Amino acid sequence: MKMNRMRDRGEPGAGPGDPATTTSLALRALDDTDCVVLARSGNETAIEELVRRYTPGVYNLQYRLLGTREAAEDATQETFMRAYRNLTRFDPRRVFKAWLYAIAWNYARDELRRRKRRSGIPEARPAGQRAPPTPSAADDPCDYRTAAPSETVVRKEEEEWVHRALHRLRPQERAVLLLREFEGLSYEDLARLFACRVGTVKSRLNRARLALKRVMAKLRPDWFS
Amino acid sequence: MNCAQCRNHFSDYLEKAVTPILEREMGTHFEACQGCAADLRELEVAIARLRKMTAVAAPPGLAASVTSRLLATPLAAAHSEPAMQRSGKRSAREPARTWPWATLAAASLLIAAASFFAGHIVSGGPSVEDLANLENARRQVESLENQLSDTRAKFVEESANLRHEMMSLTSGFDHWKIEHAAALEIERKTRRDLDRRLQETARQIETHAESLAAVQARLDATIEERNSAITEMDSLTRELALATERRAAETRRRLARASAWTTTNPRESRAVPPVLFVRNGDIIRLKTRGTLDEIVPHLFTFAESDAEPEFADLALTTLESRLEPFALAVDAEDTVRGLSGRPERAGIVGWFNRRVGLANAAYEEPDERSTRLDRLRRIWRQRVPGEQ
Repeated sequence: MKMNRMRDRGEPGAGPGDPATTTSLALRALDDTDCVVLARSGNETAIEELVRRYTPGVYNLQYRLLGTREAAEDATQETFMRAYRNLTRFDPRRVFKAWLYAIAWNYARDELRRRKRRSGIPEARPAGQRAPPTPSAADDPCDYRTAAPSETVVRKEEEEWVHRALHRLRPQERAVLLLREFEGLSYEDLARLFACRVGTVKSRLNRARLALKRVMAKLRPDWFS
Repeated sequence: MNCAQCRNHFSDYLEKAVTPILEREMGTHFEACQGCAADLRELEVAIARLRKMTAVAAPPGLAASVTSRLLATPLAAAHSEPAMQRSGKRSAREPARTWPWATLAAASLLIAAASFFAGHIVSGGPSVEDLANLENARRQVESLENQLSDTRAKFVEESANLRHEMMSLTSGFDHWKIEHAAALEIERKTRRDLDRRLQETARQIETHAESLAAVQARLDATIEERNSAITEMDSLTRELALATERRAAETRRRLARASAWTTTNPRESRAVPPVLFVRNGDIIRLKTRGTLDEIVPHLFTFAESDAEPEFADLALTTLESRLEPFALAVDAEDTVRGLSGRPERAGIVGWFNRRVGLANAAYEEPDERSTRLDRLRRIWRQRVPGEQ
């Protein structure tokens, strides 16, 4: 199930028929650690392969954390650049994916702090994004009470609501939720990423899920009726 | 278990990562607390909604853009940049970190000298002894500074050596890792190649097995046909043997006939025999030549022979026809004997016939052929020789 979701997102294990990829099949057969070793020795194809594998996941994580596509693009670029600069420090005994997502989370956390310092608010509302519909917004086409569109539109709208509910959470809660549910990181990797114990990670994950449930219940009470 | 403790384990409970004891306790709590049970159900709904959310697709050119940006940055520069920053910071901090006592000594000496000068400025000017002390202090400071610079140079040199050694070790390790990765790739490729060949071989074996099975089936059918042919040939051989045997018997019989014929064939014998049997298909005729004395012995010979029943019958009939004129005497003799022309029998039968007469003769009917022959022999014995 998890692998299917990852494959849908074009992450490691993406099919060879992806037209955007030019790396060789031999490199695709190598695991992350071998690719990192080759990348450290200057193999450009290995670098390209690592970027190909993890760009969708990193971009998705940054988008869910930062809220806008532009910020997500910049954050993805910067994440890979930081990883590239620190590639020699990578311990091959660790999981590369967890290491890369730790860099991504550190960048996103710093970016959110910078925004907070600049604007004085916890998070800027994503540019070009509407405010969550209020009960009086009867003319909003995304209002779940008035819209009666096709299944795809309904699904996109529901995802938008989940996205908004995620943005009501604290960044760390959001990060632990995303990294666990979407990226499939283990408790041990999450503990190393957040520099805490496994038990703490479990508690944070539990709190984050409960908080998401509360926010969803506020935004869409009909989902829980 | 209270509600707060129960909620702390909601995630583990949903992921089935709780101990059996805790699971039982939570189940009991859910039965008792409707609020927690409802919260758990809502949490399940929320997690399902979250998991149903699809990933946001990255812009099409983002991976290529990231790659080009990374590749535009030389790997050595990218790696050396933080290293250079680190080395610069270290060079500023190294003396203080490495030789803190030297800096402290130099600072205390300077402070002592400054206080000395300050005291003497206030008191009206330094004495010769003070100047000598000051000079000594300055020399100590210079000496310490020289030691410090030497130590710093040694440190820089050693750190450079260590860095060089570390880089060589790292490059060696990287080289080994590259070789390892290449060997792994070769191994995987070889394994894939072998797997492919194995599959091809398996397919070929399967194909050959099918062909072999077909050939085997044909062979079985052929063997069965051969066995039936052998059986049929055996029966035919037996029939042939029987036919051959019959044919041989017929041939022998014909040979026997032919020998008889040969002995009586006038065309193949210069001395024409008095009795000739001429066979024309199923019809046999008897030709005689010569006097009765010459003919009758031959006819008796043929009539008494059992080899050729047809010849024997014909000979007997011919004898009867030829000897009939001489039968009167024999019949008269029989009449005299009271036997009505029947031949006299020897032994108990003759005695019985003679005693009880012909009334009971029918019970012991003699063989007609032998009777006829006996009668003819008697006729031939009683005839007058030379009579025709």
